[in-house]
Amino acid sequence: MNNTFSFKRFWRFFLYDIRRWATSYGPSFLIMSLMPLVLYAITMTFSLVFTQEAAHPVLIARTTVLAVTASLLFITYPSHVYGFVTDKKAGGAYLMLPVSRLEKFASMMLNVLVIVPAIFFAIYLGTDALLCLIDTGCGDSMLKSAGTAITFLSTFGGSMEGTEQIISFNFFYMYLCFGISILYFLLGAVLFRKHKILYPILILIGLNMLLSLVTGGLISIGIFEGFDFEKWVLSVVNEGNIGAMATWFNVLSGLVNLVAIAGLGTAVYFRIKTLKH
Amino acid sequence: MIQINNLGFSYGNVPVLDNITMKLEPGRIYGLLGENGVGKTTLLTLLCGLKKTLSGSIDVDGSNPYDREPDLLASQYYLPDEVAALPVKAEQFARMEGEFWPDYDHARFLEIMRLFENDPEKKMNAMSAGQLKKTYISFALSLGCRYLYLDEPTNGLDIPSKAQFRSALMKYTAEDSTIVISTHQVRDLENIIDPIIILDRQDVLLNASLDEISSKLYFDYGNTIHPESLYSEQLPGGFIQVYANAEGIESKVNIEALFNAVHRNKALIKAMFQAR
Repeated sequence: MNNTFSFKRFWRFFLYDIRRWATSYGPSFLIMSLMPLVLYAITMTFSLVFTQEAAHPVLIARTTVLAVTASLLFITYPSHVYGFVTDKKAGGAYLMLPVSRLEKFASMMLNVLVIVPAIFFAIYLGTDALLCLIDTGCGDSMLKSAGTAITFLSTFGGSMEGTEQIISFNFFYMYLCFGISILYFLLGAVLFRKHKILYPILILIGLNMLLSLVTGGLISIGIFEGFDFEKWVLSVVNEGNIGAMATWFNVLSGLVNLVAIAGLGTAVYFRIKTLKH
Repeated sequence: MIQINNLGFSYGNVPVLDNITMKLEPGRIYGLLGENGVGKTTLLTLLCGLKKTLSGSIDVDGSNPYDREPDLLASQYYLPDEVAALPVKAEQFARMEGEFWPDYDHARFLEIMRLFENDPEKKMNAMSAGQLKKTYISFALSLGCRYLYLDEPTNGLDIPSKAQFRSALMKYTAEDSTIVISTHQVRDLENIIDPIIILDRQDVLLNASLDEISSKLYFDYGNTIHPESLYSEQLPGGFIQVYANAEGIESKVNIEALFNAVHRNKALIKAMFQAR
């Protein structure tokens, strides 16, 4: 069999990987995915106790809880699912499994970028939809609202004074940003033996501080002196190029994000490749 | 076959292995002995590919173990001293992991677990240290691997289990397997390990078969101390002592006495076995 990549072996390992993280992380993951149920129960209980009336969590509250839960999940799950690789006992056994590094990496990428988020949203939005089906007082389910949101984002049209050109929004850009966040915390999970979430956050803060210092320093030495940003924007608008500018922005930001994802993915791969116990 | 050439490894500035050269042949159960910290576990982890050599090379059937090629990984298994207590049943663990080794035999795993009187339906994180070790030993012996690296396999085993381990090791490993067992508990494995490798700090003091050892050293269970005794220890009823086998008399090698004799006469023993 090919020592670099075999689809049969990869598929076997991929299923094993899912079973493995589902066994260890599954219960916590399930609780977070069933948060609509928890929110509904808490809202109902408190409203009955304090107002003696049955109240339903409104859409905006449910959306807020989804945002918070999803944010917490996406920061924490890479370390829960793959943080064990730095442990001497469990990580050593993982490295010694007769599967190629590329196959292990591919399974890792699929799980963190596709499988875990997909299962989370499926359970979360499905639970919310089911609750709204049972209790019509909830209003629209988030699943229906999510469809509306995606349509809105995909066909978002804006125009500026002086032009009727439509600026389109790149929805794929959002997924790329999500991917960068996940891979960043995955890298932290496989790189650090301790504080797998704290250290990446501190590094991010540090990098932002450094960037602020550098930018502030450049501004203070007058590097942007003479450049009138407002004048430049108006000249672009007046030339009627805003649509093209937006397209270029979409393409450029997409490319930058893809390069960032490729860079983070490469770093994760080389960490798995060179990990020693 | 495993060929180690001029192997060197250090942890930071602390050298552990230096210029180690040896050949590990198929069909042998090597006993890897040495004081604490001489590099036994390090050598095993280098052999299986968990660590990368800093100098020299290790060749296992033409492959570098650190490359971690699936074909080589499928022909070997490393059992560490400390094993992970997973939140799954032993039987489920074996079934899940075993499918990656082409010669894994699940029925054999269950058979060895029965031999150890270990419950395969019990969750591994609910097992005692000894039960957990027995689970991993059962798994290791049911893989049908060509190369087995066992680090202190009898640590944590009760007395009956040690005998069962010896029996299972002889019964369930192929004749052409290469097994390397690192151990301090030489009495547990005295009758099965051959050859003996004794490591010292950055050195190999001895790498010889029991036949070679008994041809060069005599293990005497007498009542009087030999004047040229390299090592002696009082036992109930007499002494165990080790001295050069000038007359070529056969004797049963006492591995513990051998180890102590080697450590007290490093240069002499090393020269004795190098001059072949």
